[in-house]
Amino acid sequence: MLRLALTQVLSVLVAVVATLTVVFFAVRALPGDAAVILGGLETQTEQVEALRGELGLDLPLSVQYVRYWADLLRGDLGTSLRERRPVGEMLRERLWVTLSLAGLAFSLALVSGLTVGLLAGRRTGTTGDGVALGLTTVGLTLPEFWLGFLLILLFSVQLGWFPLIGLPVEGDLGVRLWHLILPAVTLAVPRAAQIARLARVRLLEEASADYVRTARSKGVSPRALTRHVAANALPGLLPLLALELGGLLTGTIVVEQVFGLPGLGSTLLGAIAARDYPVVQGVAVLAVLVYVLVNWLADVLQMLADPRLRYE
Amino acid sequence: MPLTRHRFALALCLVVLGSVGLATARSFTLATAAQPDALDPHRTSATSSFQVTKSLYDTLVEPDQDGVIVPSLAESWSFSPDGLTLSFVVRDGVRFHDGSVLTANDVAASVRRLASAGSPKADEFEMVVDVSAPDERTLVLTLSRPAPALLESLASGWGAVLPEALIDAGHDFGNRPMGSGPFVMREWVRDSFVRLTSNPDYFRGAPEVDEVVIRFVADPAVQWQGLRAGAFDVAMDVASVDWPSVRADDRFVLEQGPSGLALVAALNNRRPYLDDVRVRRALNLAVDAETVMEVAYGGGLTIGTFMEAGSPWLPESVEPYPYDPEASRELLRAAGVPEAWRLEMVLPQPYEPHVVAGQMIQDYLREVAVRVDVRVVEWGVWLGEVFRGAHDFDVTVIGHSGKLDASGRLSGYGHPEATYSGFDDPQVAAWIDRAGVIADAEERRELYALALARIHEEAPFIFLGTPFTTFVRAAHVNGFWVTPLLDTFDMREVVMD
Amino acid sequence: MTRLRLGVALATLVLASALVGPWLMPHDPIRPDYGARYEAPSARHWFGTDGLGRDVLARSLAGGRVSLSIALGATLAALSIGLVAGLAAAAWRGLTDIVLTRAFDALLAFPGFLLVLLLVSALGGGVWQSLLALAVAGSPLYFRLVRAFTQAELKRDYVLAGAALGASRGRLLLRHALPNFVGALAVQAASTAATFVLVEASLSYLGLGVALPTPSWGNVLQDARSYLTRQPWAAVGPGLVLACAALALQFLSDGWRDTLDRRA
Repeated sequence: MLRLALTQVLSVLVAVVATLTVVFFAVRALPGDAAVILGGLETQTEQVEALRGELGLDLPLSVQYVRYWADLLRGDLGTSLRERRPVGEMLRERLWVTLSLAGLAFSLALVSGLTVGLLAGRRTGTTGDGVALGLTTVGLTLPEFWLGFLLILLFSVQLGWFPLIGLPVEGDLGVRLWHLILPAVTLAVPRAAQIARLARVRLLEEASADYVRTARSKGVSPRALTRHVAANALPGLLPLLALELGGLLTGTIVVEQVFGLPGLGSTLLGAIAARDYPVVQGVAVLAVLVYVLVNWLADVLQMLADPRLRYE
Repeated sequence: MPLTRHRFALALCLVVLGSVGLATARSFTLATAAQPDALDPHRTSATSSFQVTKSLYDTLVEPDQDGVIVPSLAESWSFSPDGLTLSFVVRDGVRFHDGSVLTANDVAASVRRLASAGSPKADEFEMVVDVSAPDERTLVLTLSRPAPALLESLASGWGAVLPEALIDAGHDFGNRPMGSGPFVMREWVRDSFVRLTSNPDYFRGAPEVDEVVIRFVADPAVQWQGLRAGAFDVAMDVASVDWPSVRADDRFVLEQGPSGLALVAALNNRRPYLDDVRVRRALNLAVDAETVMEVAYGGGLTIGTFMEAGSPWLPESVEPYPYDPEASRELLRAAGVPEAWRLEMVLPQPYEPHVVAGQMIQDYLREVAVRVDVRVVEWGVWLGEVFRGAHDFDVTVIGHSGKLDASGRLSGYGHPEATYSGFDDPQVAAWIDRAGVIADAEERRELYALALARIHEEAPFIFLGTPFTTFVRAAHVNGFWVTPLLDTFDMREVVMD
Repeated sequence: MTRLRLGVALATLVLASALVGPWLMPHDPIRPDYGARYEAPSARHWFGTDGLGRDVLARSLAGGRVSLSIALGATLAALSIGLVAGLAAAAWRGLTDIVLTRAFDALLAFPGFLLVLLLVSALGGGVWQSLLALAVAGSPLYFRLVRAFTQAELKRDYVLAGAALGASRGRLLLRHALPNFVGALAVQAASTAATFVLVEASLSYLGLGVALPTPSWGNVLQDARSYLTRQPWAAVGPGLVLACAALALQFLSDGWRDTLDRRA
């Protein structure tokens, strides 16, 4: 057990180090650098060189790499080349936008997805099930950014119920929520469809289990049976839900762009464009952390859901 | 601070509800797409940064609404007869936002910082061999050669004066600007807004408005919607498609004036066939620059050489190339351009108008049987591989921003390695070099006129034009203006009825 | 069954429109027509025109050709990479297996869309670059599937019997094991293709994928974003076509799965 846990921790560590290393070199492989971009059209080549030196971009890659890890291990994410302030501070400013968007979207997706999935799974083969199934497929294949356009067109432009774009940095919760609703719905639709499909399949699998057949033959009422089936089927969904949550956090990149939200996604795109290496790396650290956490959560949930795995 | 953020949030909500903005009559809100990278005027070269620093800092001299250099922090200035000494009398009683008094020592420290390594503009001050402040109100610059464009450089955004004490302390001006300007920095939320309040001690008297909010709104449609909802008083980027509705609405005024930009489709003069002047002229004749300006840039004036339309440096003899595909085909045939000739056009992705213009030029060149392959690249790639580095392009489209002195735009042209276009003309190079180091204004004007006329003839670019600086203001807002050539925002005289 | 039929019908329609459509269109998707800028939908221009007067329907159809090629090509490439590596890992075991598994796991350790985003940025946008990035990001799934399937098959009696009779491992793998899970791979591939259609569009929308003037569904829609409030139709038409394509592929995948399940 301990050995297994150790190997797992080790392989996660290897994956994290590998990923961050790849990101470190990949961003530096992009053509152009922060000095060239800051210099723009109006700066002489010598001044661009001077700027490069000032930003530490002229150091050998190996030195930069060692420094990166030395800083990172001390918990220092570095300083933004463009904004010249700590990356940690920048990310803290943006994190809440992405987290609240993802959280809201996930809650919406969970509630609506489970509702549809369970309703459909209970009545397989009926027209209602067929319609639900068709709708979830449509939901799954709707391009997110396009769905965002449509929502903006209908609710912001035509009806004027919601803001066109943007998000106040602070303000009371109601105002912020109001700005986040359309983006959250946009993000939630495909996830809700996915959750509904998974829930339906789990329910069907569970319903064909032996104990259900036995119970049915013994005359247990369908109502009571459904309750049992659902109670047994749902825990199996938990790990998948954790993975959905992970996917959702990267899904915010596009949606933030559509709705002009100042979250981590727009920070990442801006940093890639500006070749602001420390910021890209900082977002990558966050992303990898979240991903590891979510996968770990999924594993734990899997074990909790399936007692057999606990003793393997 | 929380209160105002709250108010801001509400204002944004009202954009949507279509009601009247909550902002009081004394608060002025401007919407613009481009945001600053840093607010340290000695460490940036971005117009979007200078647009904000213009309100925070002062310069020794500045351009007035006609582009003429007038006193600002300096009451007066004079060049020595040999042109090797420039002295300023610094205004008395000016205070920085922290209350300290601005003296010639602060100016001297600023000029030194501006001329030292790390400053993008260091090269414009390389002839300054000594900066001294013999007394609190006198600044003396000693020069190694006449510097006819020095005053203009000091009048630009980067000429800002910063407090010496903070410079010495290594203060982070980029994030926490501190100057003597008409407005004081209150709050800066990246990607969202900058909030400034009026400086009651401003040496020209406190501005009319109490507060200025510069909102960064990338989407032109949102800028227009926000204006209509009363959330913005001025919007800088309302799209040309919406201009008819602006004109039809008497609550708004569409302000248009020529900008300082010279838009060109730069040709890589090093490449085969493009090194032939006949081919370069043919390409100029093949493009209907007027339509390009109209469709891609929402209108403007066409140009015939590498200088913005309306510039005092322009020689009268130069006219834009006419649109004449027939003559173009003729020239191309004469130059022996093969049928299979293909040009690679590289366009900078974030600048949508340039990408549109590029596609139009591609289509015009097709009419004269020149095939163009378009590649749209990120800004970083464009700067690193087209503008600098390997100069990996045949054609590209870009705008060169305005400069108070012709040398800012032209220096280096004619020397093949000095510019991305690779334009090689020793005669032009000699004229421009000489004009950069002599003091005689009349002779300089003649030299630049000669150079610009020859650049027209040699056509190292496909000349497109100078677009209009267009902004929409609410009818009740007066006194907002955009500094000529520098395209920065001047909000000192904004009055709201 | 209905879903399979619906999927086949829709997919045929989308494919046909992307393949044949551009030839049937009277309008050129790339050449500007300055007299017809920002037109509303009409009998002449069903989806209206864009800022350069180009027919949006013509651009959607031409864009479909590009977008679909990328999505299908990338799926095929991801499948091939995963298949070869997965078979190799399962067949040779030992070090090959460990190295391959670790390598693909490392890829999986990165959130999918972020991986594609970084890859495309590093490679520089474009048709081939997008295809490659998607293929790399999609391959670990197929590696895992193929490896697991093959391992399971290799443990089955017929393989053990075959091996005892002296059949070569390669022959057993390709002739007997592979056909048993090729259906399941196809189901997954159709679903991957649907996802890739969407991801490619997102990339182009973010300005990282296929660049103008080559039309793709993503960049046609990105173009439409800039005048969304003025002429919404420019976003509605291409988006519908894009959604139809993804839907068709997903229906194909689901329908196929149903058919396989029924057979099993």
